[in-house]
Amino acid sequence: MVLYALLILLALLPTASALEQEELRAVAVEVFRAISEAERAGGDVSELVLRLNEAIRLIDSEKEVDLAQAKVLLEQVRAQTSLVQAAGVQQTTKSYLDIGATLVVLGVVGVLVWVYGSQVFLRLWVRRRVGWRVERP
Amino acid sequence: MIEEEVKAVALVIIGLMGAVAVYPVLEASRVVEPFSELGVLGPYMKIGDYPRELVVGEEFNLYLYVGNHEGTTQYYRVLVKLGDQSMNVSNTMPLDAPVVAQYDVVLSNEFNSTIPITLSVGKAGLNQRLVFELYKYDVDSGGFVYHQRWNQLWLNVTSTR
Repeated sequence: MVLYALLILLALLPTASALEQEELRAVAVEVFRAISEAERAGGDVSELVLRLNEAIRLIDSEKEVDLAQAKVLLEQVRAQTSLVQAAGVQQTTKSYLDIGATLVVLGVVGVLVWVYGSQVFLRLWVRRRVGWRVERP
Repeated sequence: MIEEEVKAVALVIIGLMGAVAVYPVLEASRVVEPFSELGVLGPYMKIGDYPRELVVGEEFNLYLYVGNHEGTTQYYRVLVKLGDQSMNVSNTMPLDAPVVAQYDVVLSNEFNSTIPITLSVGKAGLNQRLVFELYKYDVDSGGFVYHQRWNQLWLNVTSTR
């Protein structure tokens, strides 16, 4: 009786493993969605992609140990995704602020050039030619 | 007159500086022609030396090449299907045949991957068709969609050598 139970259990083992494999594939897809969002927010996801691929490789190996390791790896990547996303938002905001500040500075310089540019140019022109004499041809 | 010219030249220079500052940011996320690549390489990682004659259950090695030029990170799935010459496959319609293997890979933009694979065919037959189809995960629909890329190998599989 015990032997039969053991045999049944052994026969079920690959099925359980295959089920776990499918579950982990679904988790990998969820993690990918989170990575996509982080990337859209401007985050650098290259490291996360490497680790997600490592998890997928472990899932494909179908070994129990590897599946457990893949599960841990996927959770780690998922946890890091929100940090990368936050960093991305911060970086994007900073780059927009930088551009805004550059455009404001250029605008102010433009106004100054428009108002005082000619006077400054002529003053410099005259200063450079101080002492010159104009002769009648 | 000179005053007007000086103003105009200065403003053009300032305008150019503004364009130089803004252009890289606007252009960074723009991809002119997004596309993906799928290739099947022979056992020596080259285009060629593909198996043609096999025995049932005989294992053979190939390499899958997948490339991402879509502009963003992509989750690809390659399905390997076994069919025959009576079945159709095209850029719009995947092969209606059983899946014999599946390979997943996630690629950043402008990255590619070459995946070693080992396959075998479980039934004898002439002109069997091993089709490799590329699927891409679509974030909006929440599923893998056929990405209009496919390759095939024609195989003659015998029960004994």
